[in-house]
Order: sequence, then structure tokens, then C-alpha cells
Amino acid sequence: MIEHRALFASMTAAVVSATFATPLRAQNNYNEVMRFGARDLVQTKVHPVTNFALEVPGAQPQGFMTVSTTGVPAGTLTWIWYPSPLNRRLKDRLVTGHMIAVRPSTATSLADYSKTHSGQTIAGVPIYIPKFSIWTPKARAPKVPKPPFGDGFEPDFSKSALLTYNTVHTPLVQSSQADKALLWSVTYNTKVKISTNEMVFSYEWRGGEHYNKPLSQSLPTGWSESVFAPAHWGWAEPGTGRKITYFDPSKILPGSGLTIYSSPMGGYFEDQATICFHSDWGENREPALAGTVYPSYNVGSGLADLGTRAGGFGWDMFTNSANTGKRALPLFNASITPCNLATPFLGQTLEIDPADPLIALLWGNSLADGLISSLGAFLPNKRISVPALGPTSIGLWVGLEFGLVDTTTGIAAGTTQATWFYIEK
Amino acid sequence: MRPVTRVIAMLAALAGVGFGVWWVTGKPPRSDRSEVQPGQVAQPSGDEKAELPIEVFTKYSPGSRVALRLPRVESGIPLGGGVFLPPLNGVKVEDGIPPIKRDPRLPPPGPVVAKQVDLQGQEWWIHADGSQTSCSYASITEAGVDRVIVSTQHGAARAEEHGQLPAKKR
Repeated sequence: MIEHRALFASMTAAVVSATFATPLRAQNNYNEVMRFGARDLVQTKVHPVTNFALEVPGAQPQGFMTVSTTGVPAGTLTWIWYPSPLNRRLKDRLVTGHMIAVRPSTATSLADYSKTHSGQTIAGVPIYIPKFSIWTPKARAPKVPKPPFGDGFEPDFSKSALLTYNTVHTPLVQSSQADKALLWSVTYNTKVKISTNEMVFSYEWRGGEHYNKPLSQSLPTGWSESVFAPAHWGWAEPGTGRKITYFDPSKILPGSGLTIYSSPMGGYFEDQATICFHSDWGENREPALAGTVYPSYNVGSGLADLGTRAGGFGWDMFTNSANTGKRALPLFNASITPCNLATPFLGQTLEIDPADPLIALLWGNSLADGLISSLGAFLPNKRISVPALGPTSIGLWVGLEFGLVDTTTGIAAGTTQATWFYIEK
Repeated sequence: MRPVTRVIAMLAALAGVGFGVWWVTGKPPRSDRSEVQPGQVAQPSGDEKAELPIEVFTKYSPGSRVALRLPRVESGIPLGGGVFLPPLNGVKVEDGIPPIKRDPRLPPPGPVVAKQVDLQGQEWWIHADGSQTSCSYASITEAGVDRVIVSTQHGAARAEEHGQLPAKKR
């Protein structure tokens, strides 16, 4: 601890003595905030009647199964909870775009598609970028059955969406791209302010991935850089009631031959530097997955089990290439409440409490403290392992924020928002 | 006991084993010079536009696909690395066209090989690697208020499909 204090003091002195500056930006930044995904899905099954491809059979709500077995009825929302204890920087989020991965399939014949798409001269697979929305969350979920991977928030459909971007139609993708995961991104030339600390985002499906044939296709796909994500997600049925059903991997049909435990890969972009936080305690709550170490950016990270069980956590930090070579300086806190201080420090407004003696705990740890690459990112490739912390840790919030510090001049270019998780048990 | 001190000793067990970068980058190629001869349709004004094939400005019916090659342009849809594509769907450069966002493990999108119009009439550039790029005016609802913005859309198969790096491993 003495070493940490000394390191902290020396770093603080060095950085404070330098000029703090924010680089001018000619345009928006597009820093990823959430990138969660699934195992690579391989469509080896088709519906016996429709011959349409199956991706996550049995994982869908029973009501959907009744009408389609495979497809998602038009108007269905796939909602995903953004990790709760994020973005308390007391500044608005500035959303600059969104993304999702989809997987068109050749399991549905291209001839059938061509009938649907009269006038289309090139055979291909019809997909679209589903309508994207950001919602205010409802109360935390202990009041309702917990989903497989812990608590989370549901979208509050009684309120207007905070942001809505309508469906984007696309050309038929070439048949050579069928059965491949396609990542679609939409970037904005504006910054949409989201003032809530918590939020839920969703994608609304016309009817599976096939725009003109509701019930004909299945869900979006994963993205294999994120091999698995025990994300907190589900479906909201069409209609005013928007009945919500959690994704439940235990209901996936056994023996399907498919790679199960899927969740869609999606996310959005922020103008500010961001952290994509991930952990293993979400997947460790699911007995079938415990110890399998399928990393990704999961929503179960918001509530940790570190009081009773060892775990691991990590992050990717994104900024822009103008910050290449700067140090991603981790600022660490533990507190009985997530900090809401907005403390002026180094010319920035930190969410992390700079007076917390833990602030320097991760300095020098190569999994937390490194240089920003030419991609404008700091991407450790492993998680930090933590032993079970014992009962005294239960009820604590643990937070992390990155400062972006020039290693030669000491000039800091900015900070990320803080990431907080709560040690629940 | 202060909450901070409660966990100091425990969190001191944090272990690290190094970090690495899992995305790679490449130099963006320039779009090829056009080999397409301009047609009979009137050319837009401006030196830069005069060099572009006529297909760039021609409105085709939904579902159409027209092969073409594009010369380098100095403004438009930013692909990164100072490379641009001509805007589509009537978008004006001065309104601010955001750049494409693409998995950085992928190489930059290859040269444009076709202009395609989807069934709703939106124009797209089709790249040699099969990826697609477009820009358009779009309505976005922000806190209940509709706004018109410019957005760029881009779709590409993941890196592994292109024979690039294997999936990220931790």
C-alpha cells in the first residue's frame, strides 16, 4: 500500500504540474461502449416445415415459438440492459451511433427471396439494420424472477424513448456473404444527449432478419471476437403491453446441434472515451457455464459475486487515434456508494474520488495500465484475477476510470466515464 | 472500519499477466481510377465531380445494380486514412458526413465495384470485398423531438470471414 501511495503521490505531482488540455476535435468520435456477443453461431438446423434457418431454437419465448418456432414476430423488440453502474460522470452521454451483427442465411433458398423481392436483379439475402432505441430503465429486477445472469434493468415502455433511429434498409447482401456474420454500423453527424445514468437499448425486428417475410428468420448473430456473453437481455412482445420475457438458456432445446447460449452482438458509440467492462461472474452463475471462461462484455458484470467466489474482470478502453501513445492511467476506488462527486482533478471532472488511497492500486499492472495503441484503444487481452474477497467486501462498490495522460509532457487529454460494479454476495 | 480499508488487503491480490493488442490495422487503399466512360446525362458542376462517372449521379430504380469504378475524391463519405467516397442519396458534404465505423481488425474496404439501390430506393456503394456503404439524411428522435441528421451506414463481414486474424482470445 505504501508503494501505491508513493506512486500515486509522484504521479499526481507530475500530472498536476503539467498543463491539462483537451485536443480540438473536428468531428464526432465513435468509441464503442458495449460489445457483447455470442459464440459463433452455425446454422445447422432448419425448420421442418418452413425450411428456414434456426439459430437459437427454444431460447425464444414460448409465445413466439407457437406462432413461428423460429422467427421473431414483426414488431418484437430485443432489448439489452446496459450495465447499470456505468456513466455517473455527471455529464450527458453523447451517443454518436449504433451497431449490430446479423447473420443472413442460405438455409432459406435464394429463389424464395427473389420472389419476395420483385425487381431485385441480383440474388442475395435480404437483411436490414433494425430500429434502434434507447430507453429509460425500470426499477432493478429483484422484484421479478432473476434472469440467468443476475439482476438488471428492463426498458420502461411507459415513457418515450430517449433516442430512436429507424430501420435502415440495405441491398440484398451478396450470396457469398450468406452464413457469415455481418457487422452493421450507423454513425451520426450529431451527438445525442442521454442524461440518465442507466439506460436500456433495444432493436426492433420487422420479423427476423428477413424484412419482407415475418416469422421467416431468426435472431441476430454473435461476433466471435466476443466469444460468449451472458448478457441480460430478452424480448418485448409486440403491442402496447410489450410483455417482457428474459432470455433463458436453460430452455434451449437440447440436442439441437447448435451452439447455444447466444446473445446478440450489439452496442452503440459515444463521443467520449469509453470502457467496455467485462467479467466472469455472470457466466459463473450459470452452472453449465461455470469455469468455461467464455469472455465477452456482459451485463452480469454490474453485480459481482466476489464476496463469496473468486472472479476476474477486465476492460477495453476506447478513445480516438489522436490519443495514440498516451498512457491509459487506471484510477481505482472502492466505496459504500458509487461515487457521485464529480471531483475536479487534473483539469478534468473525475467520477473516481482522487482522495481514495486505492486510486493507484492498478498502476503498473499490465492488464490495467498501458499505452493507447494506434487504434486509439487500450485492449488488454486478459482479465485480472481476484480471489474471493470475503464477507466484508459485500455491499461495496468498486469503480474504475481511466485518465488519458501524455507520458512525456504529463498533459492529460481526458478521462473515460467510470465503471462501477457492486459486490452483491 | 472504513470501507476502503476493508478491501485494500483483498484487492491487493489483483494479478496481472500482461496485455496485448488484438486488433490490427492496415493502410487504406485508394479507390481505383474509373474506367467507366461518362454517359449522356448532364454532368454536375465542379472540377471534382466532372471526373466522376455518370453513374454516380444517375438515379436508378430500386433493385438496380450498376457496375462502376470510382476515381479518388477529396471529400464525401470518410472511409478513414484520408479516403472518401462520393456522397449518395442527395447528401451534401457541407452538412457533415460521419465516417464509416468498421471492425478495425478488417482491412479498409476495398475499391467500389458497383452502385446498388435497395428496394426502398436508397443508394449504396458496393465494395470489392462485398461490404456496403451509404449515407443519407435520417430522422432521429431525441427525447421525443424529431431531428434530421446525416448518418453513414456500413456493413461488412467479420474479420475471420475475410481470412484475417482469428477470434480474440483471452
